[in-house]
Amino acid sequence: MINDEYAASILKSVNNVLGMMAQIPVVPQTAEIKTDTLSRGDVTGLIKIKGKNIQGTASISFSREIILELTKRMLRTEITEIDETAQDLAKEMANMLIGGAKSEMDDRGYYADMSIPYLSTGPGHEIIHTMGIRTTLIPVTTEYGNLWIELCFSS
Amino acid sequence: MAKILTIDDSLTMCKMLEAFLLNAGHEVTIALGPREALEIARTEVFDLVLCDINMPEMSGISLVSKLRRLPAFEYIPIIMVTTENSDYKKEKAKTTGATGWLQKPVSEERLLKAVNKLTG
Repeated sequence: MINDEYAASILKSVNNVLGMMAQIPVVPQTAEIKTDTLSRGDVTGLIKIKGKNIQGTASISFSREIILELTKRMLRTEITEIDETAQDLAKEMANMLIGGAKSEMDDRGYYADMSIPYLSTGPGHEIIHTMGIRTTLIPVTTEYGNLWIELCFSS
Repeated sequence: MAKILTIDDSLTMCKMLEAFLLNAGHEVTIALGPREALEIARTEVFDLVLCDINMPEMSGISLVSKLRRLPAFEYIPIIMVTTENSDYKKEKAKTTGATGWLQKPVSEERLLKAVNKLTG
């Protein structure tokens, strides 16, 4: 399954980026199949990926707690709500996390172009992936809040 | 100390790069996208440019091509700072006029090493 291959790359990228940029250790949880469109987090960055032998979408949703902590650590800005600064950080984090995985997949022969990140926010917001393709959900926990990776690819 | 133009549609990324560069004593101007970068480039002179690739108005590679046509940007170093890492994109950027390549995420150490190498 292409989602499983992408999962390994994106978990490596999450570990690398959060470790390097925010010094936050991450703990991946068991992946599951997602059957609804509701986000598990409070703010989400989604990226479309399209190549000759792979296409689909990947998203990263952040809990309020983790995005505020990342804003504090990476931008040295203390905020209490998900404002424009936190939303922009969520988009750039999605770009770095998914982009890191895409680079690794490029090297494995799944060369593709990626879109700019699309942002959705608010409690219970929806994440719309490609219709008819299985979506894999991977929760990732940290000491400072959680994030959720969603992968929806076909090859 | 170098005068550096940082181009990225993400304010987050611009602020992170700015913090690293200011710590090292460089002067930084931020452009939030290609259009703003071209406006600034027509009136100001820089020692080095940091440029994202994946931007909404136009790609960073197209922007480099436009910047290289401006006399003040013909020979200065331009480093692409991007999540991309494919040989194809690197070659395309190099052919267009990019001097260097840094893959995001960029640590302070990696950024300053590249900047110092190109600005002496």
